[in-house]
Amino acid sequence: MFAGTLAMLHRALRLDARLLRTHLFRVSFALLMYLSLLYAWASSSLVGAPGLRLFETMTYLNLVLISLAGISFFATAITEEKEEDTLGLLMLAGINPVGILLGKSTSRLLGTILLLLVQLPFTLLAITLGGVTIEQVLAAYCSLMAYMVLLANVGMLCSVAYRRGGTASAAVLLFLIVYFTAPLVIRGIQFGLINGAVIAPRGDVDRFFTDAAEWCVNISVFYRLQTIMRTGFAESPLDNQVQVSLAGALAFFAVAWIGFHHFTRDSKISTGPRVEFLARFIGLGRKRRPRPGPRPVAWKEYHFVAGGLPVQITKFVTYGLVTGLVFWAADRYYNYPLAYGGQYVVWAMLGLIVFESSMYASVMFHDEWRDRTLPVLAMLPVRPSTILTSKMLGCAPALIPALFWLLVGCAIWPDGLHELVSCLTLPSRWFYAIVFLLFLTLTIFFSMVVRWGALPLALAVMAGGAFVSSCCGWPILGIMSSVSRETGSTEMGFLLVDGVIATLIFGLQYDVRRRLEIASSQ
Amino acid sequence: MNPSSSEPAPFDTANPPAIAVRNLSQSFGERWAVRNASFDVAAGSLHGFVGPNGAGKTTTLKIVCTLLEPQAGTVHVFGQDVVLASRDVRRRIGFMPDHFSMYRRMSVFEYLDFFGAAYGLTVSHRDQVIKDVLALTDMYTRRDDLIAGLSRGMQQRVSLARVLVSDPDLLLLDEPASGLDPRARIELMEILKELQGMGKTIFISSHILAELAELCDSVTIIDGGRIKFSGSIAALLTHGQEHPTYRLRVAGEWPDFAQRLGALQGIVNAERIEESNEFRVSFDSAVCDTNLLLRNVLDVGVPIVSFNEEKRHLNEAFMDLTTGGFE
Repeated sequence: MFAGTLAMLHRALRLDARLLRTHLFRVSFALLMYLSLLYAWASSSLVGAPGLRLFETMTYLNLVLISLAGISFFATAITEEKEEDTLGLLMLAGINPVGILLGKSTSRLLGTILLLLVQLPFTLLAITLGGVTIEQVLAAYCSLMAYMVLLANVGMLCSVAYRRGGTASAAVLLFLIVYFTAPLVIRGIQFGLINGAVIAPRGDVDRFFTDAAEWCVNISVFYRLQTIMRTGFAESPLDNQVQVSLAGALAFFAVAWIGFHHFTRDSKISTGPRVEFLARFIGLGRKRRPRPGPRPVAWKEYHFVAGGLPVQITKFVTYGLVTGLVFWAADRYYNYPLAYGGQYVVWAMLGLIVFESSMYASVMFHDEWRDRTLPVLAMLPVRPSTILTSKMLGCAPALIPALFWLLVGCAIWPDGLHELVSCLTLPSRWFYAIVFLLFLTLTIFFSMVVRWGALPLALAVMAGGAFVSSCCGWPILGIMSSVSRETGSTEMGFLLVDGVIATLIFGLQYDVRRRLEIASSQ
Repeated sequence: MNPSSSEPAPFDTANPPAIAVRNLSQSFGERWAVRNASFDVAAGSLHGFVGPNGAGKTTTLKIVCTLLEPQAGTVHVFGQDVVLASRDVRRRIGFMPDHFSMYRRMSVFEYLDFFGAAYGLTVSHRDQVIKDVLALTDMYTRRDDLIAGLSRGMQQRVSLARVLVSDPDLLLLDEPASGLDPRARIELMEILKELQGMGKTIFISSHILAELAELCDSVTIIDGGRIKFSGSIAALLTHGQEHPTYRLRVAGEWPDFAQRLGALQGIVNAERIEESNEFRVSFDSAVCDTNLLLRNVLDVGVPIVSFNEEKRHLNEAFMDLTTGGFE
């Protein structure tokens, strides 16, 4: 067992060490730390406890990066072997499931732990800067490590259970959403049930909800870090969150081990029940599906990436039901007026639009890479820019259901119309849309560059960019304020920033077109 | 590290070949994939492009099909430059890569319909073309099947059907038979023959010469990025043989026959083959011809049972021409 595990670990580490991007990633991470240190030092004369501020920034940045690693890095450990049809070869080589699981996960865990280790010198500087103690540092790192181990094993289980990396990543994302929002959701439900007189205050059910929410808070790394950052923290570093995370990690690993043969018995992607289901689905939908027209690439994206009309109708009905449910629950359980319901619907639909468009952007070229169809696509007698535009146009109608219910929410929310108009007319509001467009373009760009994890990578770059902007954004703020002073309006300053970001988007889009030509020849 | 240059003959612009490659060079970093390659593919021919793995076949194909811009040299397809008129060239060619490029979630019909639309065919025209190509590739009964559920051989047929949808004049097929079972290979070759009969030019790459020998009219052999041979199969069989060689079989034992043959006019070599009744004889074609040789041999007075020209085996010729990258 150990020979196989060590062989796999050795291979993974060697491969990792040879890749330039691994080292670039570590260097950029160290640079981010250096920047945050400079920022803390520069602002030390203005704010108190600069060490704590630095440590806080580093810790939350770590939290984001570990979460992103869980979605992309850990969730693809086994699926990448499945997608390359090499899992069977590993098993034929006599490596047993534990060997494969340990060999694949240990190298990835080590890689991520190295990222945490690279920060240690900076962290110790935070103590020197003042406002943070060694106990806080130890407790924060214990907490983050336990969270990392938990996420690595959740990713491992998802990667064993699902055939494709994308599905495994989505499952980890779902786990993270539940993990972080569970206390809020439980308290929300509890509040609604008490308000709607369904359960009695301080009754058994109420107590159960309170305990459940409390437990979720106790095991959440986010709340734990908040506790650690408080002045005067002097608790043990190995608290509930660490213990439950490690126990959970062990349990997830055990499930992955026990279920390994069951889940990987038919790891071939081209066959199996999914294909049979799709065959039936396509057979059902084909009669209603129109033939490709003058924009065949858009047709392909709409029907085979966005799901076509059946999926749009399903989404339309589902979102409508959710909207109705929001209005009903707001009225029945939360005593909120209808207008509040409208506001919630607007935000929920906005969130869905962001989520859906991000997903479509991340798979825009990933499927072409996977199916090796880029050369035949590039051979079509059309420009690369037309292919790119057609792909975007094909996915755009998929957002119509959410957009429709967003407008319904706006119509019900008294300020909705005003907010909508201001979104269309004020450059300060365009800023959010244009930053989101930058994010989408970045995701499309990464979907051409990397085989897996375009979305988490784009998120990481955006998070890094936001962090750098918050540290080094003084010149931009200076320009914005001087422009605003001269024009008497803050909007002009925003217009300037919007322009800069739009230029960046055009540059990226140009590069995507160039890469499309290059990729097709490789 | 520049490749050596030579001046190949310019092609006839009035009646251009399907493919004209002149002094083509392409490198990836320090490694030359193609070095100063020049060859022609006649219109309407079925031309094999053979070489060991890593010889530069796929790189040349990608340049011909406009996916890769050449670093040096020119490539013309039906007289049009692949760099300057890439879009026009794309309309006249159909490229089938060495791997399956399939949208696996589409049905066979949808896949072909998509490419038909991408090439600007009208719906009615598409219907007719798809029907024809499915009939040709014997896939009509599977038109509604999901591509992901098809066998490798069937996916290859669909891939070929996709290439044919745009009705190209030139088909560029990169290792189309790799991974196919013998039956599927034979069927594919039959389809290609049929396509040639329909007037298409077919440029097919493979690393197995024997596979193409019966199929192709002409062949180009590439090794280490250099063109080693380009011409007809018949020319390949005698390529590199300095003197015509014949094999004689005699009745009875004639141990000194080789010596007696060697004494004849124009004979450069005569030898007995492994203590058998067979002899190999080579002659200088400038001094002697086949008729004179046969007359002289009969004059020796030894009863001759058979007299055949000795041609090299294709694999032998291939092995002589290529080094497999160990140059």
